[in-house]
Amino acid sequence: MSSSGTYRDNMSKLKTLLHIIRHTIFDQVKQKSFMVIFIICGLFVLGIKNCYQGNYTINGQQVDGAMVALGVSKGMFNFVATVAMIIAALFSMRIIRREQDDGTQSTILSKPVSRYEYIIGKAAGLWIVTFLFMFALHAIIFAIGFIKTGAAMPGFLLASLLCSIDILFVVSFVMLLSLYLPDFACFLIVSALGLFSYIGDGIYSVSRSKMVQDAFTGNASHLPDISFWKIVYLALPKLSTVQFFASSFISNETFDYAGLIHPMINIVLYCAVSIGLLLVLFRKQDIA
Amino acid sequence: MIKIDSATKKYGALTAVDSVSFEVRKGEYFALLGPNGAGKTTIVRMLLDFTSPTGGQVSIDGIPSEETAARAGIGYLAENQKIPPHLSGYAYLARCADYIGLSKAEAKVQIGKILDIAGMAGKERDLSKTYSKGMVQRIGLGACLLGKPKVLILDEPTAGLDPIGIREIRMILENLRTDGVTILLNSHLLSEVEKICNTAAIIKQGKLLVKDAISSIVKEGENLEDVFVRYVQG
Repeated sequence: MSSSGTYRDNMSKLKTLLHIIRHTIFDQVKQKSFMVIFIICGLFVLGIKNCYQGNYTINGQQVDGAMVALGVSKGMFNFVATVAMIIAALFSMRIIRREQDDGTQSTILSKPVSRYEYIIGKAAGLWIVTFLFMFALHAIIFAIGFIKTGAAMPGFLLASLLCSIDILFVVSFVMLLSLYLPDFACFLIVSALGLFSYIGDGIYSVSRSKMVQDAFTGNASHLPDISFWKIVYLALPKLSTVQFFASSFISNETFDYAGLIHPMINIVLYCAVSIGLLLVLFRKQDIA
Repeated sequence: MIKIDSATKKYGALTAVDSVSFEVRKGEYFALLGPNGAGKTTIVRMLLDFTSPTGGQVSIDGIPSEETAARAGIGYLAENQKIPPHLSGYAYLARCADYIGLSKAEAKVQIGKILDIAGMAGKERDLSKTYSKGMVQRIGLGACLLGKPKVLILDEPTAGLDPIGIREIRMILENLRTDGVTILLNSHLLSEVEKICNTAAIIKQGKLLVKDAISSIVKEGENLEDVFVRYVQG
């Protein structure tokens, strides 16, 4: 085939992919549940504006207002990022089955559209729509923080962008599971992974605290053997670690992580494996 | 145009299609007949690459069905045609036009004509959840005609339609004859098949029993239904 023919072919494939992405976003946004969740989350986020006002006193000492603002913003950032992952799982768990049921899948795949284009288009559409959902909420928090304190947090929106990799993993992994498992099982499995990630990070942080390390100093024989759990912790998808890494940009803190692979690389690898398996296994499936 | 060469499809121990071979030539109106569970829909699904043959080859216009390009000139109407409930007939047709690569302007022109042909002009902006089965079927058939396909694969296109709806679908198909479109029709309505198609194949339990011109297999004093019963019960 000539190079211009290949170019036209590639352009046409790209156009098809963009159509699938656009239609997926439209279908998702048109769902009543999407709007309801967005409005509830938006109202909740707007509700934090009062947290930036007032005097906070701890142990009789006045806390710096900027510190409070930073703490509230970081807390809300992590909360919204977690909610976005839950929403990504809810959207992804039934997309393939729903499109089988409403005839969308057979309509698309009876046209000159490859299964790879279809599945990538669906995953990308869900990723974009959930990321925009999260980014909009993060932008509201950013704007409230700026209005209330007059100080911008330049790393805030970058942190939101970094968290989008978690959403991509959730979308691709849940879609992969949904090829074989019922919707709710997919949701539970990815929720369990997320929970393990948060608990693991919590234990990891505690174990690295000075107080815990001092407690075990000189008592090495009393240390439990945690090598197995350490491997499990390091090998699992680092969903919450990516979130904490991202939020370190908000406060310009140094990100302290002792694992062999950076959490971003861990999640990127998991995304690559999930998407690869999704493409291969969906290709083998019969279309209803 | 369509070539099925020793196509076999097995689901575990069950053989849904057993080494079936036939060809549908350009411009032919071909009916695929058989009792329920004979393997007709499986053959259609293999043509569309919805399922892979366990053995043999399936191709359209010389292109193996597993290649995306094989579906470039195909219009497909599913047995139980559905339109997502949040889409209007127009939005559905516009999406189908996107997937076959029509420009916005070309899609608008073609959709306008198709709505007229399908008798859906004036109702195209209503949400599909308000459509009757006949209306969904007509929009579905309209979607098949977008991009002026060379081959139409119609799986029970008149299922669930009233006599007027059936007649309308038949008229649309009749009008396509002059365009040289090839049609593979999978239907139970033998009287309609006899009116529309010129060639037929009868399959039973995944095996091809006969494939010939309808005028050759229907003897004097018989109709297609008699032939069908003779082959299927005999």
